[in-house]
Amino acid sequence: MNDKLTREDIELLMPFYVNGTLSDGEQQQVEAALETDQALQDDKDFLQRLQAEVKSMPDAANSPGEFGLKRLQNSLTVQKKVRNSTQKWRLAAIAASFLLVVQTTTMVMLTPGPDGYRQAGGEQTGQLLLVTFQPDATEAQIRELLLNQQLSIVEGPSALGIYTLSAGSDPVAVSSRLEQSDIIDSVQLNQ
Amino acid sequence: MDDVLMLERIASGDEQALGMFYQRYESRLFRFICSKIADHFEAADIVNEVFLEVWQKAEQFQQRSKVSTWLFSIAYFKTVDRLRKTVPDALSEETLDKLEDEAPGSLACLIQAEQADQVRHCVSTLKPDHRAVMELTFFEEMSYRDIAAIVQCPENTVKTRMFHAKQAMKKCLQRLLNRESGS
Repeated sequence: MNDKLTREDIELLMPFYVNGTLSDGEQQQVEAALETDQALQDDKDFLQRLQAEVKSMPDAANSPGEFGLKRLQNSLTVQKKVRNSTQKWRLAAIAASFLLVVQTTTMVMLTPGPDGYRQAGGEQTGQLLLVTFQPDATEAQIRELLLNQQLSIVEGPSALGIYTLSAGSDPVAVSSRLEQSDIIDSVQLNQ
Repeated sequence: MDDVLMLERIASGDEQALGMFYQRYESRLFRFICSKIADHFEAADIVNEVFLEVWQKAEQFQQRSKVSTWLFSIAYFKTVDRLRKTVPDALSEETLDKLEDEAPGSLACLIQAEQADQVRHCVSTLKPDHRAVMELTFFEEMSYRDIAAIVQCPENTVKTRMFHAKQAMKKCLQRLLNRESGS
């Protein structure tokens, strides 16, 4: 149930009494006030005439109508194209990222270790030699020996002066030959 | 098809339903927007924006209000937003006060004898906020509660805006009547 409305409240509600949107409680109080208040009755009559005039007023200008609908449909088409284009770019970006990951992984797996040498592990394990040179061996002598025996340095020298050498196809024979060299201090097969 | 069902179809991506919804509401929305904005081309732009938003946000409609209330709220928000961007002082009370009684059309009104023309003239001199509320009250026949939801203000503000609109209309029509009788 509504609280008792003042005359001012009734006057404020009058437009909505005229358009028929008040609650039942509000409507009853407005109707009760109208029975005894001529000024409110005049107000109601004025508002009713005003509503009738407003409702019969033609639009100030033609609404967009069918042209507006075409425009709306065109806007939707543009939105779809933009969305599709965005989705394509998104997919392309995902594909490119995936490709980059695959490429990077492949490169890491296939690229030789530092300085162009292969890692000591894997298939070369049985053909490696651990070698130390005489302290007075020169770089020229070491280079000549390695070239003659077709050896290459895989790792080293370590802190103890040990070189890991790749021995080619017959490491035992190479090892024997190295032991006979004046500049070799020790040779050991790394099986 | 009722409004809610139509919105559900729009939410599912049915462009035909959007077309039907447009045809149901476009002229009413246009009229309402024109009550606040003078440029009819801008009003048509806003109508387009409103229906695009309906297309994008139909699935967010939760039936807490009537569809028409939701729709007119979008229109009102976009219209006010446009006014703020294009005419920064369009909403100031000082500007609105000048519009009410001294609109440029006053002189032309003197030679119009028909009541409908007088009413139309006086409506055109109302403050935009008052005119919008009167449009929703008398043309759309909405409750003050729905109007408050649309124009995002307290219910009492809607009632007082409508009261001031009525007073301004009385004053304007009385002035026209006096001028006619004096001529």
